[in-house]
Amino acid sequence: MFEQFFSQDYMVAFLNSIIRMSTPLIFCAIGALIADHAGTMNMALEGIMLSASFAAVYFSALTSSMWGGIIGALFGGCIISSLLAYFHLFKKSDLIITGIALNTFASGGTSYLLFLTTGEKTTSRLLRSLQAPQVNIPYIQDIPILGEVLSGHNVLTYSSFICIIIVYVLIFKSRFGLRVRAVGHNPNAANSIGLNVRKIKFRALLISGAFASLGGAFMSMGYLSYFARDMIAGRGYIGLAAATLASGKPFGTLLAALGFGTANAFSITLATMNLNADLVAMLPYAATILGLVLISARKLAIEKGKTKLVNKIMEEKKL
Amino acid sequence: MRFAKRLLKNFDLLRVICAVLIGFAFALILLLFISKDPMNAIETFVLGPFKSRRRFFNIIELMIPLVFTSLGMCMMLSVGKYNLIVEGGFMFSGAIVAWLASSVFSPEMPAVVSPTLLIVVGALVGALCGVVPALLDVKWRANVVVITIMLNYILANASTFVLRYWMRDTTVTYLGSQKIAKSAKLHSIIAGTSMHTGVFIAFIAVLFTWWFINKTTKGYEVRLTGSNIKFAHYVGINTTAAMILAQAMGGSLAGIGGAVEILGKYDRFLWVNQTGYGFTGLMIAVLVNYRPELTPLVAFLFAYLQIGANIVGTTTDVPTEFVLVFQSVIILLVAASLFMSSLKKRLAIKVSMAEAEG
Repeated sequence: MFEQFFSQDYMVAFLNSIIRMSTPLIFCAIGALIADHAGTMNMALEGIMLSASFAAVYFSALTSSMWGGIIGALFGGCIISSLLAYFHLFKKSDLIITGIALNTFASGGTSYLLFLTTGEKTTSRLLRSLQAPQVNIPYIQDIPILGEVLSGHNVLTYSSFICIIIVYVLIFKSRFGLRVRAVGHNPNAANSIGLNVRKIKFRALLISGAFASLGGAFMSMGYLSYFARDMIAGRGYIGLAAATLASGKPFGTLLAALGFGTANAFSITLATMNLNADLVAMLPYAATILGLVLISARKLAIEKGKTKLVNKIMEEKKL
Repeated sequence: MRFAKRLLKNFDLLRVICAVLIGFAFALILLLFISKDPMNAIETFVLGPFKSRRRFFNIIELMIPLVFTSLGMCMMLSVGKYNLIVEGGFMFSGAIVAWLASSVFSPEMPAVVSPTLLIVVGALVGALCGVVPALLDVKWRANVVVITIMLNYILANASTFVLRYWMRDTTVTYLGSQKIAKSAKLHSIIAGTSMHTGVFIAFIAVLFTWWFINKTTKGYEVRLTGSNIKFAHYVGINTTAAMILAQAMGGSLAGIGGAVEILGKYDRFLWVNQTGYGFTGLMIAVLVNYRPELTPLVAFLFAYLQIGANIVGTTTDVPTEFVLVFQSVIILLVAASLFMSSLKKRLAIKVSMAEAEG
């Protein structure tokens, strides 16, 4: 059973699928990361991605262009994220409840719009939407194994890696990023030096939604070529977990998202090998839980260590 | 003036009613756009559930699981934890109970004993589901929301696993379990409908949860821990124990719900996807502001909406999902603490001005 797995073709296909499966998670985790730096928690990522993937299909069919789809996806995702930001910042509602309500809203809303636009109840196969093109990287595609793994992916997949760099610059090297971090770290202090906390948080949530929307666009324009009901299937939450795991570091986020993508790809590969599908399907979720617990345990240990150290120093000073 | 005063006193209720009305308007607009015969669809949606005895009891039937999950969520939220395991606990305990009822429990067993035993099993399974994330939280401060959402997926897969490998009936073409033993089932109480004795169990559960949260010391400790954990800690409450207790109870309420649902309504276990009752339960708990005694009312409202949507879905051309939009709009508005706050301010000013004048 496993010899087959270690054959070269299989390995290449497997590594290839890791990259493909990670793409939506990377985008979504970037979104979660930005919200995290702004001191909020974007619980609506799932709904944002879902509405973005519907809007991508719809607008790409409407304008019959890929860019129309991408812009449509950004628009669809931003509707949900601006609702979240509005209710949280201007109406003082609880982030988690609002986020979950918006996820339900997106689930019902996309099903409704799907029926309204196509008359279908489960998928949008009838809409003639476009896919984001695949890109062959010159030179790299000619390298024997590496080329097969790295080249020929969807353009959005490559963008997701570029987005990690963009986000790093945005958060750690730009004025806006500094303000976002200030607001997230201590809103009162930020307010006292004249920053408009609400405005900055609002923008951060919008940008967070925009990145997640690209992940949604990938789901319906790259991963699949159509929209299906509830097609995000928990990826929004997994992305959230990846960002939590990396505790605010962009490249750590990339690694975490790739890790969950690997678990995801692994579960699909194992399912084809006559292993128990239900057990294997638990794998990505179990990996997420394990990762979260480990990382929070580590954080707690560091915190405890710090307090101990401080206490020790205090005692020594008294002596 | 007395009217304004009374309005101010019941302002929370007024807010909920306004939110429901706005949500309703939203749903009607949605129906208007999507249906070829909107008046018929709207009429079916609003009046359909009351048109026959069977449909009306369908509402009550759907209310039962919603009451259990919302009670579970009330427990979780009253200790201040967004433990969403209610969703997965409900499904998984349903699966375990169905497995036991279809394999271990023989038809010869006395009719009252086996459902009671099975419901206890359901409660234990649910409590276990609730305790796991609670422990991860208190021990390592792992994010409860994300952990429980992940656990819900795992539990859904585990339930399908139990269904497929432990109790699948291979003689039927669809994916279903062996038949649940007759002796284990909850009896129908009204002939001609599938209303079952679970409705009494739900009623008892409401009373019990209300009593626990409002009338016992432990319940007070739970509430205090939820509202201000530091204060609770300083006055000497064992906050860790309170958190675990509340989440275990919340989980077990969901577990009882799953058991009652399976034993009352189904011949076989058939669930392969998440039921969604847990998330609806969260919405109901938010709407009643975590007061268990009010859950049946709102559960009735949500069940009525769902049944109305189902009837619309089967008799007209409209998909049932529009009702999700309706529900989420209500929650968005109710969860927004500043929704209608300017009206409240104006009312308060008016009342106090009048009082000052004498």
